[in-house]
Amino acid sequence: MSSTSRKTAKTRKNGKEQNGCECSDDNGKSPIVKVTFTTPPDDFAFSCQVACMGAAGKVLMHQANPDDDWIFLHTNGLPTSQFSEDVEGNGKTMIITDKNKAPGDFYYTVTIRDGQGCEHTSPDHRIVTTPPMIRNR
Amino acid sequence: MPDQTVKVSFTAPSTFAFDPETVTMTAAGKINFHRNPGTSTWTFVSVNGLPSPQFSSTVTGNGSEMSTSDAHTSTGDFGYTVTVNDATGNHTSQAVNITGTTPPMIRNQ
Repeated sequence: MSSTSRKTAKTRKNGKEQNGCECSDDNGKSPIVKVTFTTPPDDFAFSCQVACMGAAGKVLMHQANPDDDWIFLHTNGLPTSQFSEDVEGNGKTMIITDKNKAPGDFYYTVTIRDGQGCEHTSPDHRIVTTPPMIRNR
Repeated sequence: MPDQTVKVSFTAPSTFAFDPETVTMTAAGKINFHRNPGTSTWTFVSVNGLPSPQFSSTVTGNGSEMSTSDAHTSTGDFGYTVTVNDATGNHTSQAVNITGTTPPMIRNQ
């Protein structure tokens, strides 16, 4: 087995399945987050809820349906001290570079632009309302 | 829609219970808060945290009842707390908004 083949095999062995995504490990495998957006109502879905990174690396965000006419604009909430991002492929892909300088959970939202030129941002779930409450529907 | 009822129980110094814990409103209407049991001697002071002007509240019956009017001008979950008064003073139920990190997220290990 070549060095490259051994590295690939180790990557697959060490990769962890968590919340719908294969996680990065210290071999640098990049988690892939497929994003679905539908309107109305503004509804976002993320195939990988928790993209775990064992070392510095990249998180790849793709459209779940490449035929969609919306495009990625940017993420929100990730600290710039260790995260940066690039939009590629005419907005079809967004790549988040993670320096992995500090451990922890880093929340984000995603802003996209639809085919009509309107911007939409995924919901902010950081504040959770718990009972008692009044639920207006 | 018909008036909704929330039964509130309170045990000094800080134990509150709400039945039901979530009131679902599909149109404008009123939520009536009743003491549980009805023989309780503590009184309602206020309901807190509901945005104005969508919600407005009044205390009636010398504090034995309280009602909140919901204009239903927006949808969503609206957490609230309740303040009651007994012989030792005012007591307020616990805050209901929890702030934390929720998915989607990047977890650095």
